[in-house]
Order: sequence, then structure tokens, then C-alpha cells
Amino acid sequence: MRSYLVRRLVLALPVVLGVATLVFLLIHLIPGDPVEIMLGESALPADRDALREALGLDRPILEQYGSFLWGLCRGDLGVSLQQRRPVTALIGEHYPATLELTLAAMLISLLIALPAGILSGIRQYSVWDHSTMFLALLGVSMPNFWLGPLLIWVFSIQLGWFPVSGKGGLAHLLLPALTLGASMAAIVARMTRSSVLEVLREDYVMTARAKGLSEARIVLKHVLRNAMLPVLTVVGLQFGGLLAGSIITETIFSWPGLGTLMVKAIQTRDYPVVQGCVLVIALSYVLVNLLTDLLYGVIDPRIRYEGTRE
Amino acid sequence: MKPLHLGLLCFTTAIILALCGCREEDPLLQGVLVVGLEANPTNLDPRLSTDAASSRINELLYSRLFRKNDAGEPVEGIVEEWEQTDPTTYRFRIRKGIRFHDGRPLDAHDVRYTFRSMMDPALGSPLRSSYQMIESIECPDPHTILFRLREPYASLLINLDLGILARPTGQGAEGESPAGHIGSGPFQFVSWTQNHKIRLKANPDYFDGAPRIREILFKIVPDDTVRILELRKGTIHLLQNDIEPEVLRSLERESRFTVQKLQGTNYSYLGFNLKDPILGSLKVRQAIAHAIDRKAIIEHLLGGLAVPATGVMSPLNWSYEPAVEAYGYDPEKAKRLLDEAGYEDPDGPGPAKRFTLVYKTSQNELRRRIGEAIQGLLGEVGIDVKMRSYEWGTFFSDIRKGNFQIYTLTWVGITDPDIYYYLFHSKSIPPDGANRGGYLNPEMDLLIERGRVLQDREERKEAYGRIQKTLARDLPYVSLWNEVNVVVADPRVRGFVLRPDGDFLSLKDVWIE
Repeated sequence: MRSYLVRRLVLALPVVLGVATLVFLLIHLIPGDPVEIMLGESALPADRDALREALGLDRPILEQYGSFLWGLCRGDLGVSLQQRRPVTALIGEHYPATLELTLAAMLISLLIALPAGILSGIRQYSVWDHSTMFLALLGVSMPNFWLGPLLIWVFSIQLGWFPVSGKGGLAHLLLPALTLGASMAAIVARMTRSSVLEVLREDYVMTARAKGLSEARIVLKHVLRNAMLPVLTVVGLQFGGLLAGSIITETIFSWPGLGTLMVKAIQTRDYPVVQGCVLVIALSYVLVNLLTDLLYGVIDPRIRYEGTRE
Repeated sequence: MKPLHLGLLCFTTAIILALCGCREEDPLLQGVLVVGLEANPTNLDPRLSTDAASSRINELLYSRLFRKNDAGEPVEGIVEEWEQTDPTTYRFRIRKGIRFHDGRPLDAHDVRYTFRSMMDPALGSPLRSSYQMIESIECPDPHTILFRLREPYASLLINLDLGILARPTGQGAEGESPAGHIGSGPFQFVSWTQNHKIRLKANPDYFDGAPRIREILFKIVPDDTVRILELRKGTIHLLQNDIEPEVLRSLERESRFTVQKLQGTNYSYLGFNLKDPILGSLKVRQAIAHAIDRKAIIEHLLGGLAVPATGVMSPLNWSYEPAVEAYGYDPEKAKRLLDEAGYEDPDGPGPAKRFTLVYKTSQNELRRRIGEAIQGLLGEVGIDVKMRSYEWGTFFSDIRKGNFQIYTLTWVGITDPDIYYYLFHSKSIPPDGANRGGYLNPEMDLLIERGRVLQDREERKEAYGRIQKTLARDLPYVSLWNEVNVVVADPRVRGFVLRPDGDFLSLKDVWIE
């Protein structure tokens, strides 16, 4: 197990390196000069050159790339060109908010999707099944930028239950988390339903029934555990998507997370901040996928990670 | 179904917990005014920021030598009296008894520190180039400061509108941004959660009278719709600008909001690349100016929230010249001018066009709609327009590099006519300025240089009047409109006065009824 973990972590390095290289190249290749954005058009040529030199932007691109990688190895993501503060500090201020929102969105979506999907599966073609799947279709089809303001209008303005935007207690978290988690809830509910349906047709379920086990025991003991593997894969993938996709939700709900920071950084060509944010998101994606793989073994004891003996 | 029950239980608990937590008292009752902001300020160090959000908050945090009035004229701030001892020397007497928010007294040394550190290339201040005319700054005594210039510069006073910082007392580096954003303005800094909110509290010792409200909470809400929803819910009490015309109309109909409007200084224009073989022709530029129906665009796309402009300076400015050549909407005249320029319509009202122009704009929705309107209007006189909208950084980079034919943009916060140097002097062609279209006119260069050094206000006004007439004749820009500033507020918020440049200075005099 440990060797598998080490092997996976080592294999994650090229992925992170690839992302770092790609982001570095893309942000440097798109038009727009951070020095001009920082100093404005009235800046003196000497000042512009001096700042370019101070920021190291006058050096050849390969040299800049080298020092970026060297900094990365030391955990130094550079200094924000606009705010003139270390990128790690900025990410440290914004990442917890994004993580909080993403985890809440995942929790809400699982709380909705798993019971809904399981019930739909075991009561196929019932009114519950049809209405749940209709809602799931709606959930997948509704974009965040539409669902967010709609939820605000209903629950904050008309009913007055929740604050409109911003970050505070649990009340501030629910609407953005629901907005972000809606499509994941829909996907997971559909996936759970089809997975449950598939397992219900297995021989061992029929055997359990023949043995006279109660329906609840069959579902809980035999169906759920076996149906969860494909669901877990989808949840893992969706979590990464939630993390990267929180940008729109964060903007709508004025949630001070990584997305808000990154959008502003792209507009102002704040290279170190963009690179830092994308790297953190990519790293989170890799870790969540690793965690998902490890969870397979917990859910299904037949899956064992004996990577070193391959 | 245990999982189902558990799920429902958790969800219901979460909802109940959330509901318990969301009953908030109206902050207005506690003297806290919540103001909506569309963007997070870049930097609260006045030497380093140029964006609107930072400038508006910095005006409240820091006092300054001079401020601007509505006509763009300098008005004394912390300066008690001043004199110009010769064309290049200014002596300012600083008021006594002014204190920074941490209790330290403000004196001439703090003023000198602020300007010197800002002018230090190591700081990388975007404002540095505006102060190149300063040769030295001296403090003969703690309340007197002398500015010596390299050459006469008539716009010095208006340029002394920079927030004064407390000079460092510890071992901090000269140019380092002081922690805590300590100024001596009407409000003092309390806290800033990036991209979320900024809290300021009243400075009871402000030299020009303490504010009447206890606190201001700036709430950063980037989404236009959500900002309005916050206002409707009463969790934002005052919003300035960036309100959709249709939304504003509906807010105006409701008695629970007060709405103020005032013509602003923001100036929108259509810029030409004069090096382009087609646009180098004055008749073509005149034809384009006559083909744009500005009144219709203002009425239908901007909801009446703009006033047709005749030039860069707004009619409120002291240097404004009204008697310039005007280009009213006249498509027939536009067609005649194009014919005279040698670009005849190949098939009259048929589909073939006289020539094609590429029009560049940003991805802002309103900008794109304005672009489509201009595309349609120019199409009516036989000009084919291909519209290209780009992400802001890319668009701005293209404009800076001269990689465009026509584009539209807005100059924000224009108050001093010396801006003509930056916009139209031959020495201001990028990368050394904003003469992006490459306008070259030796007569204009001389007029601009004259306007900079003339000390007599009437003579200056006359020089800038000639500049405005020449520009209206040569048409490096088609003047589109001056935006109207709008404020929507809770009716209990009284005393807010809209300013042409949209600043927040009057928040000092706001009270809650």
C-alpha cells in the first residue's frame, strides 16, 4: 500500500511539471505586457525598462522558466506583480475559501444525490424515479450563472432566508454551495441510479433474496457497496471539476476564493499569481484522484494495490 | 431507508442552522454605511494604485496637499496658504495640528517623504512620470515645503492631489508600503478581506470636521445583478455607477430608493489609426463622424445615461471650449464625403461596400452592443465593418501597439487639460504616451507646450480653446459621449453629493436619518 502511494505521488510529479510548463508558456505567449498594465501608458521608457529588469521579465524566456521551476522546487511561487505580495500568501488567503465552498458543494450534492439515486434505482419507473430523474436533468442543464441569481432571488430576496452574497457563517455558504453542487448532484444521482439498477440484476442479489433477507438488508449490505465504485469515480472527477469550476459561482456570490483572485490576475497579466493558482488547482485535482483510487480499496476489498510486484 | 433518513436529517439540520444564523441587524441603525464596490482595490498605497476602486478608498484614507473641485481646479487640502515665488518655485504652508490615524503629527517631512519615495524608480510607481518636472523638494521648517521645478509647469497644483503617507520611523525601506494604511483622511483603515470587504471607521480628529457616520463597509460584489439584489435586500445602502439602464429605470419607479444623476468626466471616443491609408484621409474620418447617430445610441443602448461630447474635456471643466466644429448625424453628408474622398459606393444601395474596416473592442457586453450599433450605422453609408472583440489584456495590447484601424474606449477621470500632451503630442506616440493613432501636428505640439507653461489662467484657457478647435477639425478621435454618474441609495442615507469624477469624498458629510 505504502509503495503504491509513493509510486503514485512520484507519477504525479510529471503531471504537475507538465501543468506548470503549459501554464507558464500560455500566460507568456498571450498578448499583453504586465509592465505596461502596472505602470500605465505615461510611464517613462527608462522606468519601464527598470521595472521589467526588476521583475526579471527582460530575461530570455527559458531563463525565466528555469527560475520559475527553481522557485517552485523551493516552494516559492514568486511575488504578485500587481499587489506586490508573495503569491503563496495570496493563495493562502484565498484557497481555504475555495476549498470550503467546494467541500460544502460536494457534501450537499452527495446528500441529495445518493438517497435520490438509490431510491430511484430500487423503485425504477415509479413517480419518485421519474420526478428525480427530471430534476436531475434540470440540474445538469442549468448553468451556474443562471441558477445562482435565481436562488438569490427566491431565497434571499423573496423569502429573506439567506444573505445575498459574501462570506460569513453557514447561512452565507448554503446558496453558493447549492449552486456549485447542483450539476454534480444531478450527475451523481443518475450514475447512482444506473449503478444500483445494474447491481440489482446480479446473481448474488437474487441469492440473497432467495435466502429470505429483507429488502433493506439486501440494499444496504449487498447492493450499495457494489454500486458505489463507479459512483466514487464520478465523484472524484466531479470534485476536481468543482474546484476549477468555482470561478463563476465565486464571482456571483462575491466569494473571496481562488477563482476571484485568478480572474483578476489574468486580466492584469499577473503571471506569478495565475501560475500559482493553476498549479494549486492542478495539484488538488491530482490528490483527489489519488484519494479516490485509495478509497476503491476501502470499498471493495478485492482491489489491492500491490504495485511493486507488477 | 437509513441513508435516506440520514441524508434528509443532515440537510434539514443544515437549513435550520443556516436560518438561525442569517438574521442580521440592519447595520445602518448602528451607524454603519454599506457601500457596494464592483472590484477589489489593487493597492491601498496611494503611490502605487491607479484603478478606480483603490483611488476612491484612498481619497477617504489619506489627506492631500490639494484636491480638485467639480471644474477640475485645485482647492487647498492640508495646505493653509501657498505662493509661487518664481515661475519654477512653489512654497506651501501646511496646516498645524493635523494628525495621522496613529496619533503622529503630520508635517512637511511626511509630504517630502511621500513625493520622494513615489519618485524613486525603485518603487516602480505608475505615477512617477507625472512628477518628472520636480527638481527638488525642501522643508525649511516642519510646516513649510518648497517644490522646485525644472521648468515652469502650470498644472503642478492639480498634480499635488496625492495621498500623504506617514514617513517610516522604524527600519523599513524607503519605498516600502507602510503597514496598516495609516493616513490622515476623514476615515481610518480597520480591515480588508481581499475580494470581499473593506472596513473603515470615522476619524474623529479629521482636520476638516469629523465624519457624521461611524463606519463604512465597502462590500466587493463583482456581479452587476447581485449588486442590485443586495441593494434591493437592503444589505447595500449606496451604489454608484455600473447599473444597467433598464435596472435603473425600475429602481427609479420605487419610492424606497433615492436616485441622483450628474454628468461625469468619463469620456468615450472612437479612435482612428491615422497611419492607415484609408483613415489617413480627413474626409473619411469626417464621414464616419457624421455617420454615427450618437443620440440614438445614448437613448437606446445607454438608457439616456450619457451626454454627447464635443471633445476630451467635459463642459464642466474650466478649460472647456464650446465653439468647436460639431459633427451631427447626417448620413447623406457622410456618403458625399466618402465619394469626395474617392471611395464611391460600387453598387449604391446594393450589398457591395466602399471599403472594409476592422473595429476592435473589449468583451464587455455593452461595448459589444455599442460596436454592433456603430457597425450598422457605418454599414448604412457603405462602410463594411468587421467587429473583433478581445479579452481586455489582448485588446489593450493591440491598441498600444497600433495594431488596429478603429476602436472605442473611455478615458476615466479627466480633470486637467494637460492630458492633451499625453494624448496628442508627437512625443507621446506609444510606447511613450497614449497618442495611439499617431496624430502628428507641429502646430498642436506648440499649443500643448504653451498650455503647459502659461501661468495666466485666461491665456491658458485660450490656448486650450485653440487646441480643442484644432482637434475637432483634425479628428484624431470622434467624440462620442460623457457618461452620466448615477447613485442609488437607501433614502435614510442623506447628504451624499455626486461628483463629476465619481469620487466618494462626500461620504464624510453623509448622515443617517
